[in-house]
Amino acid sequence: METALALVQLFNLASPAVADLVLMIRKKDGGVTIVALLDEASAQYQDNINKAQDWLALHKKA
Amino acid sequence: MKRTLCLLLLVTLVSTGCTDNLKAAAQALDETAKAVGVFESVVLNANLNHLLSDDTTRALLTFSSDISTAGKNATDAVRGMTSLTAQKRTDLLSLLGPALISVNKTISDLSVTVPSSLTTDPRTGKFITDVQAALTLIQTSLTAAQIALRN
Repeated sequence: METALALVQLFNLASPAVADLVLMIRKKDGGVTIVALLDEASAQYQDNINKAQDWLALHKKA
Repeated sequence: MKRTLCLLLLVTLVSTGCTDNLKAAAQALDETAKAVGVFESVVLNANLNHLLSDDTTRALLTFSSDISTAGKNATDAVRGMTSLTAQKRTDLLSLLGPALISVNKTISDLSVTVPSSLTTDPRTGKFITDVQAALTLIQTSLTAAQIALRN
């Protein structure tokens, strides 16, 4: 397991996507679900922020 | 309204399982993100249809953007965790607490400032119902996240 983690961490240097894989391996229970949920939530929050900021930028207070 | 809130809270808590605090918090944060997305869609749609002034839309989108920023910060903080320590709980709760206060205030303001004539108009009445439902969902999921982090 330690070797696998070390290998993944090496790959992680080259690919940010592997960071989630490291987290998935490290989390004991429901890790995969948690990472997927957090990815989904983070993307949705960013989308919400972008949508609001785009409108606000186009409709600045006079 | 309170019965709906309790029911939604119960459904959220049951669906999150209550067995793993981090998982429950992650699920509640995900549900909050979706609810804020629905809220923004309702507000933008109302503005497009001239049911909301630009000033009111600006205030509501600033509010939703603040909630999303707090939610994203909490989500990013949970991402790096493998367990919940007392300090991490405090940090996360300090992110979500002000957001929930802001949601409660907006719900309260909406019920105080909306004239009854607007609620009886079919077009504005539907907007008010939709925006209240979205706000209740945000309130419920944020409350669920707080409960998950406190336990």
